[in-house]
Amino acid sequence: MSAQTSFYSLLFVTLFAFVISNRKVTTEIKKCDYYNDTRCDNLSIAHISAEGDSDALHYLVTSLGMPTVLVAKTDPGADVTIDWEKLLSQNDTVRKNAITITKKKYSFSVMFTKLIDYNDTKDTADMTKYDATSTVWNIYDLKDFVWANLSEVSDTADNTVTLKASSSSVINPIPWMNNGTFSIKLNAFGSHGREDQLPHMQYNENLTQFDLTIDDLGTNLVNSRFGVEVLIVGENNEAMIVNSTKSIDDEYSPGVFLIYNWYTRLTTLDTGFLQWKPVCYQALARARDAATGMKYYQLQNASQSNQDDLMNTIAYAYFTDMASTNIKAQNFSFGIGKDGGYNKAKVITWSGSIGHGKPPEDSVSVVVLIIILAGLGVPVLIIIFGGVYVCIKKRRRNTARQLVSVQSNGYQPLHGDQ
Amino acid sequence: MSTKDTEKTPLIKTYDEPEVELAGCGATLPCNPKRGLHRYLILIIMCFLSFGSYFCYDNPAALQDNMTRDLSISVSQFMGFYAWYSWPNVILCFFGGFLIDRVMGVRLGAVIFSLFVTAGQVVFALGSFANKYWLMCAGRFIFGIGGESLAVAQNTYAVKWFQGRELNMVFGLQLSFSRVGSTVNMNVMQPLYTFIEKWSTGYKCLGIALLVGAVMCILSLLCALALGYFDKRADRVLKRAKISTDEMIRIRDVKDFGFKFWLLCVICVAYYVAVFPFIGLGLVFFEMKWGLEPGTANTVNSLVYIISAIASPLFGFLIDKIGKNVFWVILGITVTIGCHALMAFTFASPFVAMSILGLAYSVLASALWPMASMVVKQHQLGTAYGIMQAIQNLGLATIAIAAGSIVDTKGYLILEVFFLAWLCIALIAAVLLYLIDEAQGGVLNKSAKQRRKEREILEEEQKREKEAIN
Repeated sequence: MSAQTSFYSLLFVTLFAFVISNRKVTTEIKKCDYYNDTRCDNLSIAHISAEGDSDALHYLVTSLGMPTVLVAKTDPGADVTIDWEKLLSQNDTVRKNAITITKKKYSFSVMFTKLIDYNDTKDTADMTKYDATSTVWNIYDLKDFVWANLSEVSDTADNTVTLKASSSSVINPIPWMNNGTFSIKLNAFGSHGREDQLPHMQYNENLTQFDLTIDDLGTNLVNSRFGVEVLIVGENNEAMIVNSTKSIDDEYSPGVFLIYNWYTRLTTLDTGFLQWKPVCYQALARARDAATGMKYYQLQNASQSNQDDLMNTIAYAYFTDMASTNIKAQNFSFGIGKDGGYNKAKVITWSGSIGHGKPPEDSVSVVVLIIILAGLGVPVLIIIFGGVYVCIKKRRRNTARQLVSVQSNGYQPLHGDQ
Repeated sequence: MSTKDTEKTPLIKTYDEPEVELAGCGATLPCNPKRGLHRYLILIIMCFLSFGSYFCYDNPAALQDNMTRDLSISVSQFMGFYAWYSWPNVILCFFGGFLIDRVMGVRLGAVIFSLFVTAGQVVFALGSFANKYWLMCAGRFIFGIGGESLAVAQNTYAVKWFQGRELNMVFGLQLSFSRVGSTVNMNVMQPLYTFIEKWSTGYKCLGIALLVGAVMCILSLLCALALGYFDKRADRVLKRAKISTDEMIRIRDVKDFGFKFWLLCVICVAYYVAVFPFIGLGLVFFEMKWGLEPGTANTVNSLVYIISAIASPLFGFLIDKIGKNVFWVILGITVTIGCHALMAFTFASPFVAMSILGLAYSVLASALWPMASMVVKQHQLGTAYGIMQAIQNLGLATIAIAAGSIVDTKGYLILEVFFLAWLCIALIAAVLLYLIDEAQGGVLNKSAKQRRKEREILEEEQKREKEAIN
């Protein structure tokens, strides 16, 4: 094979690899159409499908029960069916199997269960510093929020689905006293790249990014700080783990050197993950000077109330055997000590991604490598060539000097001692 | 000495003023200007003269996270504080010496510059108290007018009191002591801020902490006044001749400076911008990358200062003995590149990297500055140092802002790559300097032994010539 053909074949393989790694992403919002009354009002499930050549990822996103993202990896051409009658049934047994996905290989579900508002009187931004009585806790169940119709706030053409709570809730009016909003926006991608806004997280065809936004929610606490509880249901009863990876490269999110991955199982790369960077922003238009830190807490077993709440979600309707799943909860709190707390800006934005397989890893960019190589290479080259030049020159001078001394020895010195 | 020395007045003068009689405690050992002990007591005051300005110079670095948070400013705005300090010195380092020698005199000069330093720090603190960024910048500008010139006044005092005695040692001691000022600042400001936080928060707390810095400046101002008094008294008692450095700054001299001098300037700028703006940004970098507590991060950040306080006089002495200055400069830059690379590309403890950086910086500073005197004619040395400092300040001012905005937009890895790029420029310039110098006979990289031998030969020749003439 000539060099040229091997080059072309290499190019072809690269292109081919590039093509198959991409997915065709489509979003469809399935409205509840079974009942013609309030039971179906504003209720829908968004189905994002990311079809590849060898497999497919399906995301079901809904506010039914609580904000939920169900992720299933399947073979290509799988069918996703929602039986609204079963799903809305009051009978727990009937609700099972309301959602079916064929050709599935692995699935897991991420749920945002609670919004926590606590009075951080010590200004440590650490929820473990308080117990149930040592400070004031406002804990809101997200299942009680009133969620906007998905189709009204989402952009299916852009594969963006938004879960948005804004209207006043009968259960607790405090969060809504300023007409604020709480939203989780999900965005799926068919190829790899980086998010436009900070912290510029990497995305690829195997994940969906989420932006969580707390915008002007009300609080009655002076030193208010917010947090969220997230629940993950993994298909198998395998251990979940949270790993942190250090990266020297903070090029895309200045000052952030850590990235966290919460794996649904770590025994294989066929795992679900929730990835986040420990940074959130006290502004809607994210900027570095609005950045503040955040904290995550230990994985916990699901509480009884978690398990009760789970019964009304699409996860329950999908995982036929809840007993064999693994359910873990984790708290996240936003902010670090002395950053002014929630009342400084009354805004918190945070991003992460939910996906399947190997989570994206930051690596040093080509531009940086080129600068380093050029910067260090040029002096080294100058030293080598210059060194050779100097050696040659010195040797010549030495020979010349020897010549001079030979000549001078051969002649009577001019200033002889006369 | 009321009469001015002219060409016509004889070199050896007789004074018919009466001997000043010292009486009472003024004649005791520590107070008698004729005694060594008095000189050393004065030296202590002299060291404290610039303590305040060095203490306050790095106030921003010690409180970076508090400043950006309390004032809601970006990192590039924060680095503006350093830039505003450097701007006046781009021009002033030409005139500092001139103003002290010809216009104000060292006594008045030291007091006036101390006043500038104190006023600058007070304005800086008030700016913080009022949460007015521009006022703080104005404060740093005023502070900058005083800061560097005060160091010149300090040197002039040292020459006046110690010429012909232990002058080099005194210079070294003063420099070390100024580094101690920076170190104390780095380790004191955070605890101080935390302490003040009990009564006040936010930018007001910051303002109070900075006002405490101003107290240090007032201490230095008192030293300036005391020095003025003792200096005048010593002039009277010892009838000291007026010291004039005779170094007129002539910009026209610039055209005489060779390529080697300009290479020295490049090394000077490219190296210093990779050290001082880095220290300005160090605190938050150490906090974010290694998760250090602010106190520990400040200690790490102050390592360069405290190490150079000890190592600088030592290396100065050694390099004077050994020579081979270009070699030491290349070594210093290379090691610094290693330290920055260690901090940029690994998670290895910054304690190690910063300690070695402190040593490398000391080696470089001890080897670099004397080289200017080897490539420039003696009578143009004042202009040469002026230009080097002007370019250095210009570099520090612009790079400080650039470094800040790199952190804002591109993060610390790119910042380190940026500093590494500057160090590579410094390395290229140093290697070029070596090659060119070697091609021209190797004046700069001679060992001290060779230099001594050549000097002896030269003196011998001069002696012979003289004899021949006679």
